Amino acid sequence: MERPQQGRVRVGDELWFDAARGVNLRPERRGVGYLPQEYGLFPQMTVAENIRFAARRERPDLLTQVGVEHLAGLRPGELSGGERQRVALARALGREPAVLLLDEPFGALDAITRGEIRRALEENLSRLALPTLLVTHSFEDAAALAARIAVLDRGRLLQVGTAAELRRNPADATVAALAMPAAAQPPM
Amino acid sequence: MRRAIARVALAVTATALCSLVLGFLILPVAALLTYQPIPALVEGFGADIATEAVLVSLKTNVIALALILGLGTPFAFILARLRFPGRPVVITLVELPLVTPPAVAGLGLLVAYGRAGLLGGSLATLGIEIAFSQLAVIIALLFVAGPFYLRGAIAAYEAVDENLLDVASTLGAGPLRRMVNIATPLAAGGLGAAAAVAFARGIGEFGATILFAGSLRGTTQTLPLAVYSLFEVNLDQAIAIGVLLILVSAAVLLTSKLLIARWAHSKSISPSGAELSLSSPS
Repeated sequence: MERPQQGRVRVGDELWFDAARGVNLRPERRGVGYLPQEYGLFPQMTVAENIRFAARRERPDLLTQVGVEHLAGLRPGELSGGERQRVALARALGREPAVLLLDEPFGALDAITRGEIRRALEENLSRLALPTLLVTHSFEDAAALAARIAVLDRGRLLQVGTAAELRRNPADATVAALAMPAAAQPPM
Repeated sequence: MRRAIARVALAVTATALCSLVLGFLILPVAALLTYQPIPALVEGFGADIATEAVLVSLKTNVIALALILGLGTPFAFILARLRFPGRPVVITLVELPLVTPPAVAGLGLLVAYGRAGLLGGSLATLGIEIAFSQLAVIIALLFVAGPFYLRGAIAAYEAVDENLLDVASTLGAGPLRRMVNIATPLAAGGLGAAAAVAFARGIGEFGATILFAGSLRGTTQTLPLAVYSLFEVNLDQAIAIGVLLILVSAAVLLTSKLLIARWAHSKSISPSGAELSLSSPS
């Protein structure tokens, strides 16, 4: 895991990281539900065991919540992409996190799986009402799922706002190119 | 026409080469296995000197392996996952016994633990004498066979997908849970194969043992040492024990190959297939 050079990470009243004050809480002490790009399901454990690893007890309710209770006894290798994502989400929730972090949930997927996963996320995220940070390079996906979008380019924050705001008043050409559908862009 | 001749010539040369190499490797083993008729061989297995050597070898190797696994596994995990200044040097030191001639290793052990030695002097005043005891055999095994396990175990732990360990820490697992519940099951095949290699090296260990522990029947005379002591006195008996050693080594080799095959298979159905590597750690 990377350690930022500067900045602060605060969640509610908890300070997780502060470069200036030398605060750096270890990942296991933070309450973040992290879904890496490949979901990071433990291949040697079944779905139920993966959840139990996080929750420290059986949580069949979590499986039901994301719609995968019928997969409890299977191994990650036997699941589809969409199923793996739901399981990873259920597992992250097992820790009762304060915030969710989804890293490129749509990275390197075929169109069908992509649609499946987007639908699953739309369902689950709105129901959970947990603060969620979603990292993606697709503006479409961000616009569909996010209340606010922050555009980062090479480590610099270009603009923060709703999808509509970004489309109406892009801060610069990069944001404009990103926010506008390709067909609506003026010819070069 | 020219092409056909060239291809035939190539095939003949290749066949001859393979036969030569295979023949060279198989001949000594075949010679040992066919030296005596089977009944004589079995009788040789049952002789007192053989059974005593088997017991010494078995007892010392099992204890040594238990210590190697118990102490070496967490050590390998720490070395594999922790990044610290001087790490390559430490890994080289760990691998040093691998390239040290066994006789030199035995000498080193004598000088370290012997009565007049570095550590041995202090132990002697407490009444503890290590050299030429069964404990010495175990220590020699730890020193020469241990690094074989460490090398394989470090590589196996290094091959574990870092992502999975990171995810485990975000799910609240501290270093101990990450090692026990995540890393070790995933590295299990590699660890097993490394243990098999270390065990095989231990069973065949000779040089360090004979210098540090001596060759006392019933106490420190392991199977290889028994072969050496019988060699000029009773060749038939020596050969019988040799065959016994070959059978044990073959069994260990087969086991390690089975373990590697099972580990490779289990990795292939994981979402992130890490690469199988039992070569030296980076």
